[in-house]
Amino acid sequence: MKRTFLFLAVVVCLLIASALFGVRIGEAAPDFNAVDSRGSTHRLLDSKGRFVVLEWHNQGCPYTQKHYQSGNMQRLQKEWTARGVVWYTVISSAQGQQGFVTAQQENDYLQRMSASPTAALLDPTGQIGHLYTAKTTPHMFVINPAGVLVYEGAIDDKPTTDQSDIVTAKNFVSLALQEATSGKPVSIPTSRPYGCSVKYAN
Amino acid sequence: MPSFGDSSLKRFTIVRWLVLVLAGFETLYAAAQTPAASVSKVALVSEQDAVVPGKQFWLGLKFDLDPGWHIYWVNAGDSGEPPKVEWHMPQGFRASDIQWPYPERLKSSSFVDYGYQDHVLLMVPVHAPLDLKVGERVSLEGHLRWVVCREVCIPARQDLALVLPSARRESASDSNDLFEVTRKRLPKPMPSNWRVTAVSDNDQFELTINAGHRISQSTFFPLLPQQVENAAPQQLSSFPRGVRIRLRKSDQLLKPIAALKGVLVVAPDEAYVIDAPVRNPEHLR
Repeated sequence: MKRTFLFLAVVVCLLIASALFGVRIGEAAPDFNAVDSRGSTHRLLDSKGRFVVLEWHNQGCPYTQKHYQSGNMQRLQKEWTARGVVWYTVISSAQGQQGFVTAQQENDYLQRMSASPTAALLDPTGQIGHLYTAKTTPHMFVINPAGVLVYEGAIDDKPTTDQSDIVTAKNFVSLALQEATSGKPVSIPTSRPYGCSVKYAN
Repeated sequence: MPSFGDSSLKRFTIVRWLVLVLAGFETLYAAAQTPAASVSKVALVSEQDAVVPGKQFWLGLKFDLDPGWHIYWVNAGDSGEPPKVEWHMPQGFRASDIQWPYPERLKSSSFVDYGYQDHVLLMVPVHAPLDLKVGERVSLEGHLRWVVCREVCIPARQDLALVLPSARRESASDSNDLFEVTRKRLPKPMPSNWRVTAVSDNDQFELTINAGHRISQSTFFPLLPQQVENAAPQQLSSFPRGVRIRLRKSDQLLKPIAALKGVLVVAPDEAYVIDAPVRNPEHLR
């Protein structure tokens, strides 16, 4: 009984700590296991040796819609997966919250939007979201082949819901990937992520 | 039981498709209309009933939000974005930036945003040109973009307009009281006898406010993103000449900063702009 309590206390502390201490640039990106919308399992560690992009997603969020209805996100997915990058779209909306989808709904959405991430990871418990302290949709992370986080933040420098802003925006994810894949340090490693809050379970 | 031949079955399918498509449009239409306007009403108001040539006057973006909905401060915190306005005014008129009243901490799951609920007036000082002819009607217009959120967010835009006469003298408009009340919530410059400093260590800033008297309550709102972790609790230690506040550094802060800027609210209607030089210990420089 006492031991169970102690165990629970430790788990709670770890959860609080992980919520407070997000991932940091230059440190190892925390490993996770996840099931995608097609039923396959993905483990981050299995992608060692390749660049990985994590894209927090909520199809009902106007900031996400800005980047999908314009085709901006799909362009990035296509361009970078073609160059060997692993691209995970992560959905951390809890059941009953905006953006929560069943596997079938997500597959329909991917097809409808011509989106081509490597996989759409379903995270309704918010476990991966909390592990990375994902705050907004979108919130972008870039992990290098050594498993180290090299970029974390917004998709670009125009924090609005207007599609017309995309043309003139500086895309931080492209920039980070361009620099990192050519062996340069990432010049802008963080930015304030902008968007809707991630709809975690309360 | 009616039986369908091949062609009527096809027709039935087409009709069904049409219905589905129309229903789809209707949903889209409903979404487009879900209207930020139904949960947040905005009006352009003026403190005075006239514009006096060569004089500064105040306009306000008056937001009335339905219960539970909020808009954002100039630093929105962990999500969202502040309202933005693009002014269209007659030649010679100059609108300054929005003067943001201090916000409140809006907590949702493990994050904190900074913003406003219920009712808020965002005040804007405007300068009228000296060569403005008395007796003219002045049309002041602005295009406002904002995002209003509860569990979900709705982006909105609206054209606002207000016509005021130009006159030699002005008097209070119907909205005058609202400006009076809101002005108390605008952060004031720090009193000249206050001394503020911040010391940086590995994962926190220790902000010391030396005010000459005890400060027993306070909340710090960072003006810049990526400096402090918005959701982290602020640890206060009050002392006879002021207060010391421990603020957790943002995980996104990778380089030392020279100054910690923010708004310190010490009591209702008592907020000050803080610009504290940061002392970085040797190993963090």
